[in-house]
Amino acid sequence: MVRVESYGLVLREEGSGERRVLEIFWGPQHPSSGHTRFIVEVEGDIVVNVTPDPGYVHRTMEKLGETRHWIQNIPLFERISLPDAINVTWAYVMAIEKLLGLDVPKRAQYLRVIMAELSRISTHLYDLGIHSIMIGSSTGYMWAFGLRELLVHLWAMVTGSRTTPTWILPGGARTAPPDAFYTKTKEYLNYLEKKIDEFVTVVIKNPVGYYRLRDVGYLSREDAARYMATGPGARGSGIDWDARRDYKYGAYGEFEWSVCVEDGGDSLARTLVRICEIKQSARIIRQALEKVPRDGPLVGDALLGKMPPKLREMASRRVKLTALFLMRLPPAEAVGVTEGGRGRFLFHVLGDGTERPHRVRITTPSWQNLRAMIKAFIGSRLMDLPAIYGSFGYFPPEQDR
Amino acid sequence: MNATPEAIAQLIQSALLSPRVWFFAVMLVASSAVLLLAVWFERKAAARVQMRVGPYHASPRLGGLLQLVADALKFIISEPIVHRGAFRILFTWGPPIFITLAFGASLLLPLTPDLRLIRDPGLLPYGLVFSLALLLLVSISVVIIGWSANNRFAYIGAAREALLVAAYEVPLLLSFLAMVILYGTLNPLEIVAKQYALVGAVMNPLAFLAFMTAVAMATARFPFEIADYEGDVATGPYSDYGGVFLVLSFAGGTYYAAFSYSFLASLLFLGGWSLPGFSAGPWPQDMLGHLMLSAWVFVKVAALMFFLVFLRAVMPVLRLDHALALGWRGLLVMSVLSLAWSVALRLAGAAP
Repeated sequence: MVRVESYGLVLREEGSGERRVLEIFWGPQHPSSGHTRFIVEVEGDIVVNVTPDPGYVHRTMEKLGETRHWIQNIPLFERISLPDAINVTWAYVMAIEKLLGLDVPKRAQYLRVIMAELSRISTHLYDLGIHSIMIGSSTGYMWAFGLRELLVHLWAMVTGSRTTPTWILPGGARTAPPDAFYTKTKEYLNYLEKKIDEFVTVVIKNPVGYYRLRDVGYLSREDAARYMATGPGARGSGIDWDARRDYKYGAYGEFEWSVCVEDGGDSLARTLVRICEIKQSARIIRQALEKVPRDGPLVGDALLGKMPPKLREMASRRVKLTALFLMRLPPAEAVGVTEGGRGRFLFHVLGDGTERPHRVRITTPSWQNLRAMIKAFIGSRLMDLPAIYGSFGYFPPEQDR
Repeated sequence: MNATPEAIAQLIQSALLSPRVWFFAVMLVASSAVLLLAVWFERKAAARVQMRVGPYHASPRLGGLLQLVADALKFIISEPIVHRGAFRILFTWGPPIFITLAFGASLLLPLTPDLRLIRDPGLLPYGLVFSLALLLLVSISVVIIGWSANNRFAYIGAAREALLVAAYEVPLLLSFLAMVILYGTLNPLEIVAKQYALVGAVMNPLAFLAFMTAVAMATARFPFEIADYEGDVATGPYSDYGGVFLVLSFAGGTYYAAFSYSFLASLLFLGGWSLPGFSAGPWPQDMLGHLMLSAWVFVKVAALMFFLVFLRAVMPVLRLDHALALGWRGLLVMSVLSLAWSVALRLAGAAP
């Protein structure tokens, strides 16, 4: 290999000089790379190789998870992916519930579904917004984030916090939503469905936007399976898999909804999966809002029995954590899996008889999608990188954990 | 030399009434005003579409109109940084060259029959051609900037600019040529006079469309913001610029180029200063009439610029190869057709 240094650029020549490659360090300080680095090798306008260099926002989540009380991990782990806070913590809580043998009442089941679907909508809006600005449409960006702004107000009504709800608890949920939440959520969904159609018109059906996405970053069904793509990355390539339907966790088995699958395998297909899932989430939330009991304890009997009477009385409005603080994890292991907006979240928790987990293993969808995304990058044009990146909803803080 | 007070007074008086001085003053003031309005409109219109308020805190009573002034001041007083790897001479001279070419082009065109820099009417045709030539050189200065920055993003941006120039230059020139054939003259005074009844954009709409699309490409307006596409090459050729360099090139220079192109287009396609039922008398006597006519020109320029900047609110960025295909297939064919249409009109005797 010969390095040719000429003014203004460094070219690398391979073989006997028939392929001249320019290396670009795309990120971590770049308007659209996110907190990660991709070493992109381009030949002319074609990307011939991409080497990811992740780890710039590694926050040692797994190690920190071993150093504190297991309940203190909930606010920690939701910072893995703040737009998808509910689904992340739900996976961890699911594992803890299996370890401690806690049951979840019907009311909390439905409330969890409502909040988790809101979380999915929030993630999809976040990703669609980032994707829009990546392909240059500032209007799509502002609309998506404007819609998400209304959603985080709903979160604030229930949990008191716009972005860090810390709402799901082992055995149930922390706070009950006020009555206004039920009507406001319905109004929000009506507005969302109207506005998301306008979004499709302005960004995706816009001729310029359409040709930025169509036939770009093709990922075949076989490759998606081989590289273990997940979420819209897999469903956009025709893989019909969704943890909500296949594991039927929570109360998902009780609703009428369908899994969104597109066969295109390109950026357009993955984007359409997102749009479709927003609509399906709205469908689920509407049904759950009808079914959810307005009164009743927020946590299951196993936890209620450990509470003092005074706290038990207020457990239909708010749950104090005292009882949970006194619980220790048995020496056993359990796994919690949820379907987040970007794909599958998996938490593998090992207890050792103390209040601290012995080990917490975390798999996040962005990490899983990374290799599939690199596969989709190669062979595309340089200007397609943002269009592919955004279509996977790749999120470096979530990937690096 | 006997500098009597009378002679000095006469000199001052003739300077104050000189159409060249007035042309300069009007162009400087009005171009700044048009740019201020266009950038304000760009931000406010995009904000309106995007459920936002837009600029507001600088001059709230004017609806944030002076935000651009605040931005420019901020940029101008910040430290201009020339990084170690840059080719210093071209890196620092690129932006001044950029804005000089971009704004200088509009100084070669007449604003009204008398308000102009080129006094000799026989030289006016050269002014028209030369202004277009200067505008096409702006892209060369972009390439210079991109090369001198010694940055890969800037390098790729410069290469893209060079590719785009090749794609839009020919249609731009052909649509210009179509209008020249239609009018049968290069003299801007005669061109405007011939649009008394029908403006050029109506007589040859294809040429107008091709010209404006090429202008959007030349001034990096959406959806052709490709050389400085934020998604993959940061700000392209301007990646390493800050402070006053950015004002003179990317943040201000491209708007001046858009202004000059719009000025040229308003003379070629929108009838310039021709206002049915109104004509200005000779210069200093009917000064007000000339100023009104120049205001009418600026209204047209502003309308064209508003169109160019509004594209930002509705368009993503086109991909490079699609943009090149559009230039080489769509625009080229369209401009050739417009040329044929002009020739046909002229042969049929229907040309003005």
